[in-house]
Amino acid sequence: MIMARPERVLRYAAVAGVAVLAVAPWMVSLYKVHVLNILIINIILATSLNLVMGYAGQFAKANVAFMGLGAYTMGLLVTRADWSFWIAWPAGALLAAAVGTLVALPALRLRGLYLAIITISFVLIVHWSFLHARFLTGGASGFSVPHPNYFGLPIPNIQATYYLSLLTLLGAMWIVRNLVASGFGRSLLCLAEQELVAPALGINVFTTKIAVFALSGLLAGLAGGLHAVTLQFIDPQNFWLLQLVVQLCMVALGGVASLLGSVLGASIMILLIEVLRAFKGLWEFAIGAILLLTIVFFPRGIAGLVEHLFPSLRERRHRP
Amino acid sequence: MTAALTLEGVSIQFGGIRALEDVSCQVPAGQLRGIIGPNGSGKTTLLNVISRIYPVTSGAIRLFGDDITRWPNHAVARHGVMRTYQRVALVNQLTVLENVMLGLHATRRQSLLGIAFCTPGYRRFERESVDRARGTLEFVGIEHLADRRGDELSGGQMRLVEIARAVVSRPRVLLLDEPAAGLSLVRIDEIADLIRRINAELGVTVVLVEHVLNLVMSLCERISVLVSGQLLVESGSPSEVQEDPRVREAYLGQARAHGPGQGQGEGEAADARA
Ligand SMILES: Nc1ncnc2c1ncn2[C@@H]1O[C@H](COP(=O)(O)OP(=O)(O)OP(=O)(O)O)[C@@H](O)[C@H]1O
Ligand SMILES: [Mg+2]
Repeated sequence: MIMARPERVLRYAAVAGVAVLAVAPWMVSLYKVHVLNILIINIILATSLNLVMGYAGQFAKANVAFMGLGAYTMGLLVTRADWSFWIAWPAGALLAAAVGTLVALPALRLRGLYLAIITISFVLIVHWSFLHARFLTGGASGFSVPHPNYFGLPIPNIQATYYLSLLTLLGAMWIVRNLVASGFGRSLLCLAEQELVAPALGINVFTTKIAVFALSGLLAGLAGGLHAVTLQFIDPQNFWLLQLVVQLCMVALGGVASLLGSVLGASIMILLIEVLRAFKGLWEFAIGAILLLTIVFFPRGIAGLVEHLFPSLRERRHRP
Repeated sequence: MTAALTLEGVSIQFGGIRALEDVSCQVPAGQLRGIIGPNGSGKTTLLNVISRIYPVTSGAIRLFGDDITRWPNHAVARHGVMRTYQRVALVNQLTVLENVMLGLHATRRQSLLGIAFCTPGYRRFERESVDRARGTLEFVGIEHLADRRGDELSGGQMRLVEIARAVVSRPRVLLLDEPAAGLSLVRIDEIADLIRRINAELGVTVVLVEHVLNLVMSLCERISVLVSGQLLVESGSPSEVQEDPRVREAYLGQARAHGPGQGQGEGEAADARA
């Protein structure tokens, strides 16, 4: 028997996965479309977090804050200022990217635990602001957001939003894949492993860190906007530490510095949460257990295991 | 003729330790300069100061006439100073080829937008980068390792990859920190040959810090001797250095004391070599 080459298997699997996602809205219930949409959004979030934590090796954990800023900015501009979603959504993402560059500033001096503490404090502050700026955000009870205007597209809004998420995911993955397989991606890995060596190779550590935080903020901001229109609701609980832990879990389980890892980690976590939803309170326990087991047994996550078994599947950091 | 590298009264202090004291010397363009000295005498610190990892306490450093004393360190690399490390510093998540491509960053960069949208210009750029990295791997004689990862190599191979990464951008000055440390005699000969070719064929000015004295004596036209942070000999021929009684004394003194000259910073120096 001729063994299929693993690279080819992976490529077919990716194409098949995208094809399944593309036809899914016509095959499954509306609720399942909703779950798949959340899954897609979480792949974007895991990729965003992986860029900063995995590739660039920065212990920064501000992702849910970027996501929240994207969601709230979009939601408030649409509901309070009557902006079109199509302008408000990128505006929210750009704001998240701009704030991302600010968060990069402490990362220029701080490392490891200190950077983690600073960025988690940032998440707390942003969450607190959402909660307490009641006149604007509705506080803990949140506010609802309308469907985007799809200009008479002849499919239901839920499906349309699903396709918007899918297109965003494909675009984001294409761009991120281009970036990690370039001199930029190689500099990120150099920052992660040999930060002192990076400048001696001509890498401008300052601009590289700013760029990766901005990119991460942009992706999380876009995902936040999509998340809001998917739920048609925004409230602070979606941008809280628990969500941060779930996203960390996706990256750790899937594999750091790996796009395949982000996809697998996010998919497995979301499906698991869905399956365990019936057993109240179980999924928090499951997450803790998974995080613990992965770190002990597969420190490089599922993608690390896959690459170990099939070295030809190692992510390429150059083209062609 | 302009000097490739000029140090004028360079001093650096770590807390109470004066690691370099009033070091002045010149390396003419194209020279292969050796720097020797007992453990802890400040050789690595000297390279760190030149590549601007450490800011100097006082003094000035010039590169082909440009005062680089206050430049940010990535700018110094982009200006043509590349180096290797006493403790090899490869990126293990990258393959050998990709590690060498990392060295091209100093001279060849692309805009993030071009990369993100994979423009034709960027594709050509990346293809050329791959070709240049492969060419350098051939020059160094390790093209068969191209697809190995950093952590799948032997110590000697790692040193060669690091040298390839440092020369792929055709630097003007190459700083080598003990490239022969831990190598067998055969490998030392190979590396000597490589350094000679880098200097002669690529026209790179080389500053070689090395403990293997035979290597330095056979390779270098001029040698500087650093003892306790001071230049004992600014620039001497191999035979002058070998016959200098002060140099013998410095090395013998070390042998007697079984530690760094003048008993300075024994701990760190030992750590650095581990
Ligand atoms: N970052 C630092 N902080 C404090 N002291 C330092 C630092 N770097 C070097 N030193 C001290 O400076 C002195 C010179 O060290 P250096 O590493 O330059 O010696 P060396 O000549 O390279 O020695 P070796 O042959 O062991 O590599 C030592 O006393 C060392 O302890
Ligand atoms: Mg040294």
